[in-house]
Amino acid sequence: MGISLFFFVAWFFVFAVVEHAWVSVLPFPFSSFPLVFLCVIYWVQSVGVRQVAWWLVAQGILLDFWKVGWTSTETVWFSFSAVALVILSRRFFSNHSLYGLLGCGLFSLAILDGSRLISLLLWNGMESLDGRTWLAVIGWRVGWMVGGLFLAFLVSERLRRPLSRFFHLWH
Amino acid sequence: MRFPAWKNRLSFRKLLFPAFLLGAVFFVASLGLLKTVQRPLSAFGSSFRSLWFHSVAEDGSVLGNRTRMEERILHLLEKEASCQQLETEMQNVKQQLGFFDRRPLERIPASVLVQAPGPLNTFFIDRGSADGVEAGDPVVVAEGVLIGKVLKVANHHATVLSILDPSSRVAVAVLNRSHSLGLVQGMGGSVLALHFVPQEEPLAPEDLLVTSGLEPGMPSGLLVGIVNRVQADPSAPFQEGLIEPILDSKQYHFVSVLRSRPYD
Repeated sequence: MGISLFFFVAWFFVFAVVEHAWVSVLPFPFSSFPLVFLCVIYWVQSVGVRQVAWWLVAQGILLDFWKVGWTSTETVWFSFSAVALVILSRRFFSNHSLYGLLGCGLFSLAILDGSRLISLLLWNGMESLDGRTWLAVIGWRVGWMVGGLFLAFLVSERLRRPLSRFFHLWH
Repeated sequence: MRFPAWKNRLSFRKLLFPAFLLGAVFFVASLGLLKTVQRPLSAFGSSFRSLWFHSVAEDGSVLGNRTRMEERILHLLEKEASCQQLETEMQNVKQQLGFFDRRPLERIPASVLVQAPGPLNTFFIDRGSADGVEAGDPVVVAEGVLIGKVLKVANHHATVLSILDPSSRVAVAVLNRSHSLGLVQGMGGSVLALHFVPQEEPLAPEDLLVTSGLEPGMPSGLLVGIVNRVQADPSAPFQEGLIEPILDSKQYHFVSVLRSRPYD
């Protein structure tokens, strides 16, 4: 259990640091790649490790700490998204279909980005949202997520067990 | 009622793993233990971004057209020469009038550790109050191009608000004969808006904007941007303008925080 716990924490930091120190500096649209979110969706929905949803809460805390999130209360919106993801995964979508994986991902992303945008609008007003820019960002986030999950699904059937063992995230 | 052992172990695991994860996040983030990994990753990303804009970007994009940027650099060098001449004349006048230099500036070098994703305009640097950084300090790159102001400071790190953010305001002066004053505000994308330049003041495309020094803690003469377009409505009391930043700040991994030293 100790090794699983270590890797549960360590892999979160690996993905979070790669996303926020490297991916976010890349030119658009690469900078909008949601690496941690993709991993969470895949592990919760396809592999069935629901505790990985806590990575979203941890990511929200990091964004609030560094003050580089869309809003100043990222922890709240990421927590909503994590709860929604677990409920969707348990009750609505089967974990062995592509549609289940995409459905979980799309709904969770819609809840996350939708709540953040509404928060931005309410707290900062319309001037904080340049419509075309945000549409492009969210559009690319959806696109990266769908593409990434599709690719993960294609290889997951063969690689699910070796991946779980490699990342020491139990199945 | 006693539960079976396997059920107790499962519940314990469900609590332990998230508690450990969140505790580790608070511990690692507050002590800044990720800096050694974030610095090289951020530098690598900045290099890649710089390479991308110099070789792959489309024609006509603000930051990607190399020929246009080279012409602009030449134009700026010429303006720099005339600025230096003006500065020399100003120094002579100051000496004659008995002024003293009130703005010795200290530069605190810093590395960018985390950039906000997408269209957001904050970033996180590895210097804090222990290094002399204070909220409101200007952050520059190259020889004096303003890219942001320190928003929030902790002991060993700080968050910087880019001038491109809509909540950012910078008091500027136009480098023209009348030294017109105005206010630059971020628009959330990759351009800035210039406000409150009186109608009678001359304002033209390619005019350079520098900080005016009228803000507390903000020295004068830091480059801000170049006028791209002037929106003059004769019925309005002020002219507005669209401003291009001098450079893409996300290509820079190393920045400097400017501190005005107190009087001796």
